[in-house]
Amino acid sequence: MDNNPFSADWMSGWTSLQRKMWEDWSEATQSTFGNAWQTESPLNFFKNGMSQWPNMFMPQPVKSPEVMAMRHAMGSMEEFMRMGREVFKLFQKVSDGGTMAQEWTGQLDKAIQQAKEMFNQGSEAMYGLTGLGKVDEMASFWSRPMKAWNDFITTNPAFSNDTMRALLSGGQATEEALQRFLSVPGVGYTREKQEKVQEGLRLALEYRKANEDFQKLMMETSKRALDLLHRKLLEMGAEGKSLQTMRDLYVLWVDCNEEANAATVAGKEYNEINTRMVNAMMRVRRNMAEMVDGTMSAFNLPTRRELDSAYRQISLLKRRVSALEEIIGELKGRDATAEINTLRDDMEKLGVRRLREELAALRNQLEEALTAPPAESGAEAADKTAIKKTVRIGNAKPQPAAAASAQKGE
Amino acid sequence: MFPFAISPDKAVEELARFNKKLAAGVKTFTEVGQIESGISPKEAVYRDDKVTLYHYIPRVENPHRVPVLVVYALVNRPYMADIQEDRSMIRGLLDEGMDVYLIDWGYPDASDRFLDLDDYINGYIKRCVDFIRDRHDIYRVNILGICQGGAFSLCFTALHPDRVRNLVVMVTPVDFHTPDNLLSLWVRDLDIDLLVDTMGNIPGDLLNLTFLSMNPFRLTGQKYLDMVDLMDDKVKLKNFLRMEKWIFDSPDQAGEAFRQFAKEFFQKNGLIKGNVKIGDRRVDLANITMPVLNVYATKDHLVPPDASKVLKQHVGSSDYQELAFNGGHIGVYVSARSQKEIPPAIANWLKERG
Repeated sequence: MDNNPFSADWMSGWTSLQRKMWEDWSEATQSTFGNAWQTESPLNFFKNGMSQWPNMFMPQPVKSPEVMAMRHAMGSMEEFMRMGREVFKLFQKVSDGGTMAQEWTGQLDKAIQQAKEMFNQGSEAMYGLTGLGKVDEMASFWSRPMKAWNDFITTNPAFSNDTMRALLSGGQATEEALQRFLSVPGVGYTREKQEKVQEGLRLALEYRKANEDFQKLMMETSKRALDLLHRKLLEMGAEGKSLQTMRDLYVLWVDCNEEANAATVAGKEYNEINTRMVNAMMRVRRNMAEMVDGTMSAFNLPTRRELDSAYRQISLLKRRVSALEEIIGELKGRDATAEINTLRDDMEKLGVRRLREELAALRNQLEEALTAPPAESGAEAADKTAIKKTVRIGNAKPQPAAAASAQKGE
Repeated sequence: MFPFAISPDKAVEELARFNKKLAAGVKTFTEVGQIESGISPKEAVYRDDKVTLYHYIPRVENPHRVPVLVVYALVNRPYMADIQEDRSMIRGLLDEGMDVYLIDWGYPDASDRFLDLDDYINGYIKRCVDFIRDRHDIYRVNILGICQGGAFSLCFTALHPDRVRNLVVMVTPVDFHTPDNLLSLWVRDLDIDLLVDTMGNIPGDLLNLTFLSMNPFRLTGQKYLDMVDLMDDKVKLKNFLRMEKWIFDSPDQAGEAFRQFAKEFFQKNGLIKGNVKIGDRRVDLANITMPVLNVYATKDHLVPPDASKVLKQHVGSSDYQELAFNGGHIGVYVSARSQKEIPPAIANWLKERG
């Protein structure tokens, strides 16, 4: 391999290393998976980039951590390799000019400027956000960290799906056609349905606008990251420091992206746009769900609304059952002795004992009255006899006068 | 000076070496085997709908007489606290002689959409606590609440102080409106009702994306390049994959519980304002009069330290202590240093208080 750092011959060395790597790769895959994973030739392997790797893991469960990690690793590796390629191009330009030492800052300025121009083309061009990816190839390594993140978002089933991505596609012409459709008033039997569809499209346009604003903000963030990288490289140059490996460059670039991203996501603008985008997306989804419900209902099939209603009823019943179980548990666990004692206390508080004592005192008084000296008529004597008999029916023992007086004084 | 000391041949060699490592690592991948969810032996002792109460097998002959109930967040899975043998807060507590229980919330599905915070706090947590009280014939248990689980523990303890002997909270948000709380900022103006009414349960993937947004480039790119460096070491790779599994093992959030938590805690900051109502009762943190240990992480980007430390001003306890861990939100459970610092500190604090 030619060791001249910036000569055009480095490609031959690169090819021989690729061949060596291919041999290692073949050996590794054959020993692990047999011949099934061999591609036709090393050239095809490199032509397809790293796309063979994720396929290798397809037979395994899709969400297993090994598969996910390996897929992410493949994606990162691919970006890393592309970054290497782009850096070579940059070096090549600098080298061809023969003015590396003197004019590298000018070349760097130019490279950064070119990268910024690419960000100005919009997210669809840069990342293939809509899934179209029509000019994805032209995106250089500058967009790589952001692309990895965008891939993460667009493949996230919770955040996006084919329908939502489809809403993001289409250009100005589509929008104009939609606007024309939206201005058609609904009439006749299908008026309600038409209005619902029109409302859905209006919401979809709002979402698309919000998404575009979000992407623009992210593009600005990427440009700020480029400025940061530019500044840091210039500082390194001024301080006599240098990056030793491709990995160092990658890490520096990721750091710059993180720094720019941190500043963006903490800002009010991000919060406003992100909130608007998520709310808009939810309105679209809700409208879709309502339309689907309408269709399901027309076919006499269960709707989301009905299922929710059933789930709500189940939740309410569960709560009632839990409350009843708690009451039953309390009743089962109660100490009967304590309850009896409590009831006794309650009885006492009601004054039963006092009533008994008062009754006894009354009896005593009567006894005293009956034993007093006789100075009465015949009729009075007959009454007293009657009272005496009544009192004795109560089986009360006569009490001394002193005791009766004491009770009165309580 | 030109800041690139990277000659093309060096760069090519570096990339080739890297690729070779990746190729060799494929074999290691196939040998890693099953990635476990938690490593300490445990038994399911109580089930309630999708909720399971686990009891970890004690690692000392006579464990501390008052068990600790670990209440984890609804977000992600609780095996983070027991992720690998040398990185397990649970194991650390068991080694320190604690008797440990843990609530596993399970994976809510559409039928759980209407579970609200009353169901979680006055329902599941209370029934788990009562189960432990009956099982051990004790009046009060120790509670260790983690992150959102810490907020739940605060609510539970404020509502049922007679059931809690000591309360430990870890990386727990209390003030949701500190200026450095990005999550809170992002949620502040979202139409939560629209979100829940539309989505029903909130997908775990959506929450994951939100968390990843904080460091998207490191977490979706650089991290996997770093992984290639350890692919020739089966143990290290397995540890990496354990963490990877945990990160993306995100249960969906029951819609109504999410609605309440997002609105009352995140948007209205109701916990410190005393406005949160669970069921028909208001949560008053001043009711927390038992000893409280508040563990927070000084570099926590999800729950900033100030969001946790404010607890001191709101609890009614005269025995309040803080433990600051020099690390991040995840490091507080899994870093090597935390293993030496956190479980012994918690266990000793609990033992001192009977």
